[in-house]
Amino acid sequence: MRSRMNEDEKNEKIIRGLLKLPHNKRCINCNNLGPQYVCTNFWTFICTNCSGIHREFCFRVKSISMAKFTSQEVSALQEGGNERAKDIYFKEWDPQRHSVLDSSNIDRLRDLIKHVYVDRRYTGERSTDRPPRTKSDDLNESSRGDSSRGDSRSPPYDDHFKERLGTIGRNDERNFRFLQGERSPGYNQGDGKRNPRHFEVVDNRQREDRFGSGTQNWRFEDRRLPDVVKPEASSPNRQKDFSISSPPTVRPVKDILGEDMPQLRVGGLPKSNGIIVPNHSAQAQRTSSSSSMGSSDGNSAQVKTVNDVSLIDFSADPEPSALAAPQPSVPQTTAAAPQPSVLETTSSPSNAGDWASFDVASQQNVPQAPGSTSMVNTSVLPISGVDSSPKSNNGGQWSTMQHHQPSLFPTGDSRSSIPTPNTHVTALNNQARLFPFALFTTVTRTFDFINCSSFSTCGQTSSGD
Amino acid sequence: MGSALSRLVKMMFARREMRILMVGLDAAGKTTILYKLKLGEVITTIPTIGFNVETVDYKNVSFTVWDVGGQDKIRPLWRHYFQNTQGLIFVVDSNDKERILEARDELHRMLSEAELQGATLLVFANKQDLPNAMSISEITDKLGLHALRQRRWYIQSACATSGEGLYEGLDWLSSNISNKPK
Repeated sequence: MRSRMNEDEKNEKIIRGLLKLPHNKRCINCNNLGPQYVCTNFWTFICTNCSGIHREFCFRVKSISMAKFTSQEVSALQEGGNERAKDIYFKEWDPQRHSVLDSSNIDRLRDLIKHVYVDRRYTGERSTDRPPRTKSDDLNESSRGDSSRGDSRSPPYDDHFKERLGTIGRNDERNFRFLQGERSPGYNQGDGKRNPRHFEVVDNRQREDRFGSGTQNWRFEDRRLPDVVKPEASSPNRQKDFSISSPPTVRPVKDILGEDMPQLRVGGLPKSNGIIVPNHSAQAQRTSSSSSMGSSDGNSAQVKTVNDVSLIDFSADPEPSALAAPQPSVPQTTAAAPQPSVLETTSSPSNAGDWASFDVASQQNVPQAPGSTSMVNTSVLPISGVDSSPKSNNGGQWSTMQHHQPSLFPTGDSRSSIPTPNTHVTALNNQARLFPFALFTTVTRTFDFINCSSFSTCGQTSSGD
Repeated sequence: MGSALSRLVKMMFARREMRILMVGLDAAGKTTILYKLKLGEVITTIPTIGFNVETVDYKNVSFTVWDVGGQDKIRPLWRHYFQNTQGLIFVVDSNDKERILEARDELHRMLSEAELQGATLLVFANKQDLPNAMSISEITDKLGLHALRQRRWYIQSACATSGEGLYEGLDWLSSNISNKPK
């Protein structure tokens, strides 16, 4: 036991030492200072946000302080590290051409990670046997996850993968195959579900193209629209709706308000943060809500309100056991662990300004609590505050809100086809008010039972007692 | 009489509460499940250090779900959340064949704790959408669920990103939950 402890300590010490190497001092993807995680697929040091995105792609990440490392892992990390990984995955990466990413922009990070590790655009091996990509190439690829591409390329791709990641377990390999081989139908959908913005980025390119050449992909998505848009659909479908139905919101704006476009641009989004994303209206909402302080506060407050509603119910009950029990356990965990349980909150300030939103959120909440239960509520609110902070951390808040929009206004697809940024913003606000009430009904009622029943549940019960 | 009647009415219409503890190995999808239930959305999560807690209202039951980080060094902290837990959700990554035995060990270690004796067990075999997911029966075997005695348990295939299986799991929990420990 003791020797095990020593080994763990020793391993952690070695890793901490590796962190001091110049290349490992920063996240390999977003250049964030002080990476806290290791990706054991590529043996890179990455920051918290990037670790979250890596997990989305089924890459394994381990926290340096919260996970134990085996000696093999440590030696692989010693051989790997960011410097080596940069030589492989960022070989053709041109720092002049690609600006350094802001780690708070989850969607661009996701694209980057996808391009670098999944598509392997910058490994430099593919460019020789493949003509330089045109935009429409990219388009086809990412908007459809075209099977032709997967087929034609998968063998060398697989080889690359094995060769590069010799130390990776079968599991990763399999996942990876999933990512590239079976991706065609499922992957994109999955990605869309997770991240509607993925589609939008695609659409940005499409839009650039649209003026030049044909809009075949565009139509492809359009065609799918009537099938997919179901107001009563379950949440995944809702998201799909959103990701697919949002593109039409842009196009008519351009077509119809052609000259007003620059104005819209200014009003809509690029102003809200420095990211140059074309003025996709949906994206505009999202970026503005995720980046600007005020609206992100609104978001968290709104999420909180939902909490609040449920908490009132909850605390109205004479038995506060669930409430009371957690409280002692918080200090306990704090005491038991070298890293206190509040650490998720404490990690927020390092990500710039999350504390502020957290504070505002809980302050906004308190007045809403009814007087009689305010004691209980206020004692709980910090918890919910704590617990929503990771959301603000990782940009979950925008997703919270934005994804709901199409579901709350299921007709959004036709209605929002001629929006101006202003109407969108007001719609956003209205929905913010609607949100708490609509949330549970949508969550509980729109759950698609047809889907569920078709999903095999071959579980078993055994009532032993 | 009156009080008995009102109690009956209360029993029929009052919102029941359930304290649920959700644990599992890291990257099993606990936080994603929690927020999928809470918000109906798939959010980008970061590895949980500490915990998340949300109340999820479903079918007149108010589930207070505690989602505790699963990285190996913080697993010893799970026990601090055991008290008063009525339902235990154990989330497994169905694709993680390498660590399924690790998951089994953690599960059985946990179930041997006195504080969890009354808790019902729901296993979410998550990430069933991935092509190489283990089947429910395989996971049941590997987790040694059949060896469990004196325990109500249920394994539910699930996909947190699509939401499939999650509410079925809650359904089962709500109808099989042990009475609230006083």
